[in-house]
Amino acid sequence: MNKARTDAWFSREIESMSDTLFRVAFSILRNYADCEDAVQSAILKAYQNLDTLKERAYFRTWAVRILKNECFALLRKQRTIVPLSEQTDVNYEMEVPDLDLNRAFDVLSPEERLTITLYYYEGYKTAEIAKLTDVSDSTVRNRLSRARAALKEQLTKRSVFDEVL
Amino acid sequence: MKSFDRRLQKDLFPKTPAAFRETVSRSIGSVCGQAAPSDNTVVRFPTTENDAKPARKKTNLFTRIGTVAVAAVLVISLLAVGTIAVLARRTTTNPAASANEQPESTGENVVVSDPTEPPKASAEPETVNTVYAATADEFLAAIAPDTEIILTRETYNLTTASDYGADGGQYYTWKAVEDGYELVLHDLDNFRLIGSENTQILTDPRDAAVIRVGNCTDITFMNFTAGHKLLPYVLCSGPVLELSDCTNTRIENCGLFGCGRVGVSASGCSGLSVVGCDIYECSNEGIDLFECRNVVIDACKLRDCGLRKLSDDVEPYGASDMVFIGECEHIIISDCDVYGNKACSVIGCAGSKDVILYGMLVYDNTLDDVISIEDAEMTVFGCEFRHSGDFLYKTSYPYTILDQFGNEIGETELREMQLERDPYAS
Repeated sequence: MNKARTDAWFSREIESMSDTLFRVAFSILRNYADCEDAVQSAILKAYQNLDTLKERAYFRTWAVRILKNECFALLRKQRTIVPLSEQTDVNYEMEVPDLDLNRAFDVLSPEERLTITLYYYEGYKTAEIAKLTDVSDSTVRNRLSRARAALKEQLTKRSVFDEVL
Repeated sequence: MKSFDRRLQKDLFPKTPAAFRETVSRSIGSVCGQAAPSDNTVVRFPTTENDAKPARKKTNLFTRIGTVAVAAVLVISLLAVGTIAVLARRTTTNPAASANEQPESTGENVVVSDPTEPPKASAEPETVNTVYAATADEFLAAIAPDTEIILTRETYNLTTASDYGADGGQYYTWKAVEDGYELVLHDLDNFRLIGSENTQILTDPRDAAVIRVGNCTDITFMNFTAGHKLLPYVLCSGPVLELSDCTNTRIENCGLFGCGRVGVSASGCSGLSVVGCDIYECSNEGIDLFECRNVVIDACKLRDCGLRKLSDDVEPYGASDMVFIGECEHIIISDCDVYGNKACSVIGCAGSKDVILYGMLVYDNTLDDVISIEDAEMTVFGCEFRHSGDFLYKTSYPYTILDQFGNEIGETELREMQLERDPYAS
């Protein structure tokens, strides 16, 4: 396949997964500007390494994996210079559908947030998430369960807190 | 509780900002020197389940017994202190017979009422309109409350219906999914869909449930096989039967096959029974129950799941759990055969209580472990698990596994357990 056709295909695929890229990056980084950085970097890496992708049918999973790595690399970099308390501050100027849920989401670890996102939003099976995130399927299920429990707990606390107020 | 997953699915993320999309376009432009082309210039490669999946919703199962059966087992367990042999026998009798005195699978819509719901007026005569349907169109046209539809032909491909993708009827709609439409039955009361031994209900879209049922009461599916039309190297992301917020549903003597992601997926359902079904070649789970109560899975086969491949040189992913039970209560799984599957666990149980497992024969599977349990209480007896690896996957969350006498058991007891089938099983 010639380069022009490959480029066309690549462009199309990346464009079509904009929402996925945003959600995956935002779930880990919780910061819009960082999401842009990570996605730009991931797109570049994906394009440069397109030859290493054996089966194009796996492109989406492969691209998500690259983005995930970029996000965690960025997160690691930030940890050396940004106070922990500021790492996961969502820019709530963005219109989020459910503020309480989003604030509860912040309590989760980046790994748990990513797992929730891939499972509930992107439709991946736990076994697929396990491969994508380099952990066992049991770990994925564990993260899902723990994350759900933590979210419920946070939401309950908030509603009790609101009632008291 | 019920709305939590939906809330999670809908409300967690803001809409992708337009500026972000522009960033993506700019990035694409900078790396390969062009914006996304229009459709007619694009070379389309074969897509797989990985390419386009809708958000997955955790869902679940079927019905019939419930609190009474659980209570009966517990009472029997207490009495068993002095008379183990006799009571052991009693506890292995069919839960329907021993606890609720419900008739066995007779072909009638006999489902156990949710004990928390008011009983129906028994004196009221039941009026059912029987319709014989030879085509998908005739089947769809007959969907209505108080109706029994007999499918008289072998194959019904829903995708060929004349109103496929249109508005639907009063009690069914076509819901758009990624690659087509799925049939949604809704607001039905007292409805039966009955096939013959060779009846097949098929759909083409990979992301569609073959039949989705929402907010219905007293529904019976019987004597047919349903699944997605088989294609090589393609996994489905839609389930075969998807039930949500239904009361008293019975699935009996049905074949539910892959590559449906899940054979039966039920959420928010009460009074569900899956009896005598053959669930096979599903890609992710055999049965998935979420926030369901009073469910019986009896005399079913769960086989050959998790084996579909995306290409010749890629190992199959394997399924998750053959039966997943999440946030449920009063669940009985009895006298089922589980074999030939590649999966993480046979039973995945989280946040659930009053789960009873008995008469299960598990063999010739490739499993990580047999039971994955966390934050749950389960009673297991009369089962035989032929498995050489780990038996339990557990997290730091508390869990309890009991035998029929209420004694806490662990991996050793599970490993040594022997099959004891209900002699009166259907």
